[in-house]
Amino acid sequence: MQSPNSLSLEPNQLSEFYEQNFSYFNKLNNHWQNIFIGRCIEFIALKQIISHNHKNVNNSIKAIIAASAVQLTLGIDTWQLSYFDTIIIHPEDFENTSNGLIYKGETSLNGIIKLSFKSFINGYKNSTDNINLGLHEFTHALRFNSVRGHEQDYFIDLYFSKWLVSASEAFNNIKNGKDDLFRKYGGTNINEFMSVCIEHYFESPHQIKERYIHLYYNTAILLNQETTEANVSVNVRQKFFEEKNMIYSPITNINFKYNYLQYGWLKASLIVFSIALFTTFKIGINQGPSLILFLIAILLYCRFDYSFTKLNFTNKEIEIKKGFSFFSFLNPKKILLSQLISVSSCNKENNIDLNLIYYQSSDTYFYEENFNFKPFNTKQLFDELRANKIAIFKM
Amino acid sequence: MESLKVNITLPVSAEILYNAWLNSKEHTAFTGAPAKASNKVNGKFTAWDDYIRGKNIELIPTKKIVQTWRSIEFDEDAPDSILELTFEEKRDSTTLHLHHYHLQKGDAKKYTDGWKESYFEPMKSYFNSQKTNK
Repeated sequence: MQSPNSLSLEPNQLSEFYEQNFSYFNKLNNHWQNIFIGRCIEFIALKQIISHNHKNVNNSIKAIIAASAVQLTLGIDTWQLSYFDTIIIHPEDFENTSNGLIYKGETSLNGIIKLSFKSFINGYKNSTDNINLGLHEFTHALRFNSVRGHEQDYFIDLYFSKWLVSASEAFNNIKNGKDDLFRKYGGTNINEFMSVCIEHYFESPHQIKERYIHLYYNTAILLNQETTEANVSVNVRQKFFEEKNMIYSPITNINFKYNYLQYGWLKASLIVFSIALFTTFKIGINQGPSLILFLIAILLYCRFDYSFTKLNFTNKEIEIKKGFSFFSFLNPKKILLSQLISVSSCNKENNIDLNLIYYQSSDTYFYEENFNFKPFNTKQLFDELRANKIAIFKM
Repeated sequence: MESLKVNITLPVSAEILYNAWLNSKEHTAFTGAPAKASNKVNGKFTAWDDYIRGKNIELIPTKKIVQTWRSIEFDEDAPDSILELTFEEKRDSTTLHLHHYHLQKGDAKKYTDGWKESYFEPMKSYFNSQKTNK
């Protein structure tokens, strides 16, 4: 290993440095190793990494700190954690001046991350204790960046509610002293649990898979990487969505009855059509105003027809079909149940508004669809969705 | 009918606290449970994984939030209770005064504990930053 001060932040030297000092790097294939190095260089350029007494730290320290952040975010598109611009390195665990307590790390909502370098290195020295300060603090940063930041990763942002639902069982078990898988500190609050879970995911993913399979899949999908003792695979979301769908229980289909008159375009079309009829009766069909009114009614109907959406649960898939009559030739969208993120419902006097948010793999976007149904008993549907760890919001 | 009053002082501005309460992502983040919120009058909200739901009645930015509030433990025919939050900004902190009224008889003690345990404790830890000391 070269001396800490002599490391230059050039790709070749960094590659050699990471091969010798960062085991995660050696589990990546060449393609991802190159991306890893590029991101580390960018991370070092973007962040102010300084010592606790405001002095510069050497390049080896910068390189190893950057590696931890890039390890966590390698599968994520918007990975820069832009809400955080400063990382302060303390040689040892440090005292927080406001409360006198000793900390190993701190991630503040004011955009600063503090790390005890000793504890940071210990996190990587022992790769089986499921404790890793760097991953822990950068997970807080990832979460806060999503809540407060201006440049968030849209997937992390939108998929988090699904991760949260699958985390609640393990989190409550820790809080109630019923869990011995995750360390107790994860019971402090859900943000600490997320950090503890992700530390664990990188060191002992199989343990999470055995005990909390939904949490395992959702963590893998959230981070978009799969870690094993020998390899790290990135871009695994589609594979994991498909695998996860296999563990889902089928949803009983409901013969939804649509509340057509809740669709504004149809209402408008019917009103204009009535006026057109009346006008025709008064002045005749061949007159300009009658023809224009019929044309408007047809256009309004077409708009309703195009926006009308049908929903079907077919075993472990959701079928979303656009079109009421003219547009019913459009092919339905079929979404795996595992890609359904949340369902919100709002009960009104004569109808139920249902709002679905789902992820579509073919274009990697999230979509939102609204449905208006005549009142039905939602209990069975919601119980089945809840059993599959899908977030339900009753408004 | 019963009512309760509790308050908490947090090291953030009234603006941050007010906006966090009415923002789905931040409400989820500081409670640690799925929430949907709205920053519009008449906007509906749900929190703590559907345990709570209600509607915004009055919103005065950075000063006051008034909401209807009911939990799944309310009897179906029981009227909504009212939650009134006022934000008193000081130099480096804000005191959140929480007044919860129109509660059914016997509920005040339960919900006082609930506010402290399910809101104030996680809010303290969230707004005081995330610190790893274990």
